[in-house]
Amino acid sequence: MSGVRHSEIESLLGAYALDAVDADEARAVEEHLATCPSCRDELDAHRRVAAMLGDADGRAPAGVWDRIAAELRLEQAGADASSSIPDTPLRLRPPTADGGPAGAPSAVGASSRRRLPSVAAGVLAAGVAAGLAIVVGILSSRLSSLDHQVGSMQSALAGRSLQSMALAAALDPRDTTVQLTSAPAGERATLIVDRDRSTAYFVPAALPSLPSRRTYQLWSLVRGKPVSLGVLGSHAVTSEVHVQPDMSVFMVTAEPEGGTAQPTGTVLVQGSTSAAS
Amino acid sequence: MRSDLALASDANLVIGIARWNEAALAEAYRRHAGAVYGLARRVLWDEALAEEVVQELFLRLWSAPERYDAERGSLRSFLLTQAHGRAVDMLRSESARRRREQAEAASTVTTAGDVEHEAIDLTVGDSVRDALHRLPERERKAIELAYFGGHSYREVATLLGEPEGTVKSRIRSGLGRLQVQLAPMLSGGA
Repeated sequence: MSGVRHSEIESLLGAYALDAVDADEARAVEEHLATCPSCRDELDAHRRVAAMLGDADGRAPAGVWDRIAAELRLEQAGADASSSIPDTPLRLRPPTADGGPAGAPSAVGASSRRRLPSVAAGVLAAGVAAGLAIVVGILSSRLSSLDHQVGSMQSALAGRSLQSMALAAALDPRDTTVQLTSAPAGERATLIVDRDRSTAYFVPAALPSLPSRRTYQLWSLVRGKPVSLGVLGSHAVTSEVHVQPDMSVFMVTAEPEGGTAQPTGTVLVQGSTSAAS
Repeated sequence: MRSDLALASDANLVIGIARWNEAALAEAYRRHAGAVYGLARRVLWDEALAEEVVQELFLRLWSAPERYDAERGSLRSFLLTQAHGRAVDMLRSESARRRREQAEAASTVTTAGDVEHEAIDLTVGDSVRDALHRLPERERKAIELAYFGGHSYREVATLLGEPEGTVKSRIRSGLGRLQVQLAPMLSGGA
């Protein structure tokens, strides 16, 4: 804890606790914190105060938990589908807490689900969206061995939210998965076309929110002409859309609120079923 | 089973999450997602982005629960700290900042006086509000602009027409003063 450095960093701790320093300063503070318990303590105290300022009762909007739960299921499905990935003992060190692990209530403690190894789990956690695309990728390469699991998986999904139906479709080898991507910007989405070729699930993987008066819109090319499959909103979520058997090329554009009859924006992501190419 | 979880401490919920118990995550969500959402929306003025913050945070808690250290504070405090950090990151991207400014401009809370301040009154609890009011005006202003406005201390200095070093130390001393005033609640709540 060298004198000048320490007092310099110390003077930044309040602003740092409010996320009000620039990136260079944040890095300097973090470096210093690693070796300075007294600054860590002061920062913890500032953060507790800040959290109280920001604390208010309220509810999160409906639907957010469904999206989280769907992520967990996709992640789990990816782990189960990847039989070549060995089970590794993750989280060797459970978080310290009052009473320690032994003190956990049984309902909380009892769980032994198979999980992705930490590297894969980390990748998934890195972004919802990235995770989705990766899991779907893993799935599609292993679909043939999955046939017998599909039935039980589908009946297990008694809740049958849209996400779980999308997942069930993703697990079914008779369905077709179309990756919609854009090379430069990294936006991504997945379209899972049901085996009946009339229903499809649009799963946004990496589509940032649009301004509130803009909407994503899904299109297919039919005999060279774009046909709208639906308006997806400014913050695209998993959606069910109707398709026709001959549709093989899909794309997403950003359009004015309410959607348009013909695409006016540039194509953000696109993809096609392998049969088409 | 459900009632066991409802009675579990936050610390035990995190242990459950570390053991991949989804119901434990659902219970943590039930307890804290509303507060996370409220803070993110307060900073971002954008509901879709605030939902994104909630989703990211709880998925992060699921994949890396070891980042929460019970010795450093409550789970709620940890989540709110993360929510604020993430919201400010988003705000620093130019488009989100613009959207916030539009939303603020369009807001009907444009009565004379202190808009920033009135909006805060709607969200924070009585004792926290009282404590904020008891701060010297300049300290309160600096903290509000930084925390709720999502401004860096340099921006706050520009906004208030004061030297950066002064603002930096006002934020720190103001937080220290709040800590003293809120001490009874802080020790009970951690």
